[in-house]
Amino acid sequence: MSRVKRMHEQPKVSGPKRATLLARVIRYRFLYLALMPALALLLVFEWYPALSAFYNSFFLWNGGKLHVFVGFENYRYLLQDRAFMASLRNLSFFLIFRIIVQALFPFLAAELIINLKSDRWKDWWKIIFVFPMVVPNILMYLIWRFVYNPQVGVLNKTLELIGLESLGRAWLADPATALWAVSFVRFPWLPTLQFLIILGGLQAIPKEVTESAKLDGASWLARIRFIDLPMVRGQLILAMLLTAIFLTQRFDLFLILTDGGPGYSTMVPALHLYQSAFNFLEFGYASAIGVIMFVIMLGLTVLNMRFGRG
Amino acid sequence: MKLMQTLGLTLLLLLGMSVYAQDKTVIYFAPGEYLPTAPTETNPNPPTAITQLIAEYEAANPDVTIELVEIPESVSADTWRVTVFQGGNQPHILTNNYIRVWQESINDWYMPLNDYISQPNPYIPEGTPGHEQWQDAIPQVVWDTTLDSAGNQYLVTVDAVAVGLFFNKDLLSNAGISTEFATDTSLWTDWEAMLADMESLKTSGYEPLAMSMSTAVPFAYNWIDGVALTSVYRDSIESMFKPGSDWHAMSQEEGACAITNGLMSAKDPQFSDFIDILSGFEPYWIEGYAAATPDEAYRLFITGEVPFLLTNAAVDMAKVLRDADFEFGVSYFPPITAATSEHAANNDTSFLVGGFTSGYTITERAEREGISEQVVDFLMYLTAQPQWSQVVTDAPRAVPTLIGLDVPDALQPLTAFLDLPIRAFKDPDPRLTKRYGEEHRRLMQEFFTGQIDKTQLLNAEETLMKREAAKTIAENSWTCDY
Repeated sequence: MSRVKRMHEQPKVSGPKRATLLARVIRYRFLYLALMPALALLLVFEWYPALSAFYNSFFLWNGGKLHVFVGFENYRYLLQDRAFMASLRNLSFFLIFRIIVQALFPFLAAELIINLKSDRWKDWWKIIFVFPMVVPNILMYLIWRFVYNPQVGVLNKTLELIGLESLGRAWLADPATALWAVSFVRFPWLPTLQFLIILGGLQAIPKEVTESAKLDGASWLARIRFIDLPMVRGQLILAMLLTAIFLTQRFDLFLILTDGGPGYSTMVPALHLYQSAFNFLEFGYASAIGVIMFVIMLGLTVLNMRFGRG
Repeated sequence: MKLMQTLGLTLLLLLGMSVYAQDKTVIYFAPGEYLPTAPTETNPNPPTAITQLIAEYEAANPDVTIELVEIPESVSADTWRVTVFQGGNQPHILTNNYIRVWQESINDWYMPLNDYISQPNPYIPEGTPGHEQWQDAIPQVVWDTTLDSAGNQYLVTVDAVAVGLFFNKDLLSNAGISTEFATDTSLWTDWEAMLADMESLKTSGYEPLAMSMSTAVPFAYNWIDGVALTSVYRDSIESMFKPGSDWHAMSQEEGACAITNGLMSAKDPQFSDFIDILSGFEPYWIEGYAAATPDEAYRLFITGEVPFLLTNAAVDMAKVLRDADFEFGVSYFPPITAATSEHAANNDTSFLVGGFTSGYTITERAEREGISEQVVDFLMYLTAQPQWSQVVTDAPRAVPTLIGLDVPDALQPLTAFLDLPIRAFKDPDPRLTKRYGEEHRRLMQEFFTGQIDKTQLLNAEETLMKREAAKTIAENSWTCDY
C-alpha cells in the first residue's frame, strides 16, 4: 500500500485517541522534510525581511553604520509628515477609483464573452483580453507618459484636431489633473487576473439557472442583477481585494509617470517608502511606512472578508 | 574506469581553474560616462579608449583583471549604489559626486586617499606635474573643493562639469534676438536682459526654455536654484564660511550651521528675493516642466521647437553636435544684479554650476579584500596624463582638469564658464540633506503650480530648513562653534 493511500486512510483507523503532534510529525517526517526547502525560502525571503522591517522601524538607520534606537520616533514623525499624509489621501482616491473600475470593467467584459453565441469567438475574446498580461508594465507606463506629453502627446494632439485645444494641458504636471491622469492609465482597466477570476465565476453558474430565467422572460439586465451578480459576489470581492493589495504596494506607475509630483499631488505610501529608503537613506523611517502599509492592507483584507461573508 | 578517469580529470580542471582564479586580482571599475559600450543607431561612436587602456594595463600586469561595471539605467544611481554597498559587491573604483561621498562617508564606504595622493605617480612622465607627487597633476583648487570637513580626500577628480544654455541660433535670429555674446560667458549682460529675450520668444509663440524640474531628475532646476540663492546672499555668505576660508562651495556642515546659528533663514529678505527670482523665471520654462525628463527637454530643443536648453553642456555637447541640424551656441546664465534684487547689488559675474563635482573614489572593498595598493596603482595609471588624454580625446564628456592636458575643441566654448566663481550654495540636496533637497523642490513645485502661496512656502521652508539642519548636525556631531 502506498504511503499516500495509507495517509488517506488515517482518519478511519485513528479512533477516539488521536496521535500526539510529535508522533504525527515523526510518522509523516518525509512529507515534513519535503516542505522544509519551501519553508526555509519563505522564512528567509518573506518573513525575515518583514519582521526585520518591523524591528528596524524603531531605529534611526541609514542603511549603513548609523543604527540608533529611537523608539516610536519614526511613527510620531509619520503623523507630521506632509508627504505621508498626502500619500494616504492620494492612495484613498486611487484605490476607490481603481477598485470600482477594475471590478466593473472586467465584469462587463466577462458578461459580454459569456453571452456570445460562438464558442470560437468566446475563445478569441478571452485571448484578446488576456494578451496584455505579457506586455511589461514599464512599456505601458512609458506609452501613457507619451500620451500625456503636453507638447507632442496623443491626447493634446487629438484635442487640437477636434478643435478643443483650449482643453489641452500638461496632464501630469498640473496638480488638478495629475492624479486623474495616473488613475486613467491602462484604460479600459481589464486586469487579467481579475478578469479571469470573474469570468471563471460566471462560467461556474449552472446553465439551468440562466436557462430557466430566460424561459421566465427575464431580461439581460435582470439576469445580471438577480443571478450573475449574487452568484459571482465572492469572485468580485476577491478581485477587489486583490486590486486593493496590488495597488497599495504599487509604486512603479507613480515613479515613472510623475515621481509623486507636482508637489505631493500623486505621492503614494509605497513611493514615499521607496524614496525614504533609497533616496534619503532613511531605512528606519521607510520601515515604519512599511509597517503602516501592512496594517492598511490587513485592514482592507479583514474588511473585504467580512463583506464577502456578509 | 573511463568514467572515473573523466571525473578525475574534470575535478582537476575545476581545481586548476579555481586556483588560477584565486591568483588573479580582479578590480571592478565603474567608469561612469566613459563606459565603453557597443555602437548603437543613436550613439554610433561610444567611448572606447578605456577598453584599450585596460588591455594595456592587463598586459603589463598579468595577475590583474579589470572588469567594467555598468550602472544600470533601469534603477536610480542612488538605489543601485545603496544596494551594491549593502550587498558588499560594490566596484572597487566608482565614479562619484563629492557631496554624495561626504554624506555617505559616515558608513566608511570609501577609502581616504590622503596618503596615496602624496606619493609619486610612476605613470606620469618625469618633468610632468604629478610624477613626483600624484596630487600635483591636479590643480589645488580641485583638491580644496573635494576635501571633506574632517580633512579626508576621497576623490581623484580629473575633469570638470560645465553646465550651460544651448541656444538655437536660427530661432533666436528669427525672433530678432542677437546671438552675439554680450560678455565672455553670456548672451546677456544681466538677468533682466535674459528675461526680456525670453519674453520676446514667448510673444513669438515659443516656449523659451527646455528644462526639467521632475523631482526624479531635477538637475536643471537645482542649478538655477543654487545660482539664484548664491546671488542674493552674495554679501553675507562669507560669514557662513568656516573662519579663514576663501570663497568656496559651502559644505553641508557650513550650510547646517549657518541655519542653526541664525545666519540664514527663510524669513530673510534675501530668501524672499530668491523666491521672486525663480517665480519670475518659471513662466519661460516649457509646459509640463514639473514632470518632464531631461530626455524630453532635449528632444524639444533638438527638433527646433524650443530655442534654449539647460543641460550639462559638456556631456551633451557630443549629442548636440551629432543631432542638431541648425547652428547652435552655448551661453551661461548672466549675473543677477541690482536690477533684479537689491541684495544682488555687488554681483559683477554669475556663479558657476558644476565644476569639480565628480571624480573617482576607491571603495572600502579594496581594503577589505587586501588589494588597495593594486587598485590605487590602476587608478594612478588611468588618471596619468598620457592615459587620460586618450580618454578625453576619444569621447569628450567633461573639461579635463589634469595639468598639461588640452581641452578638446568641442568643449573649448565651455572653458570660460569654469573661470566664474563657484556658486556657494550648491544643489538643494548637498546643501543640507537629501530629504531637504526633495522637500524643497516639491514645495517649489507646489508654489509654482499655485497649490500654496508665498507665505505658506516661506513658513514651510523655515520649518524644513531648521529641522534638517538640526538633524544633520546631530547625526554628524558637529559643534558649529565657529
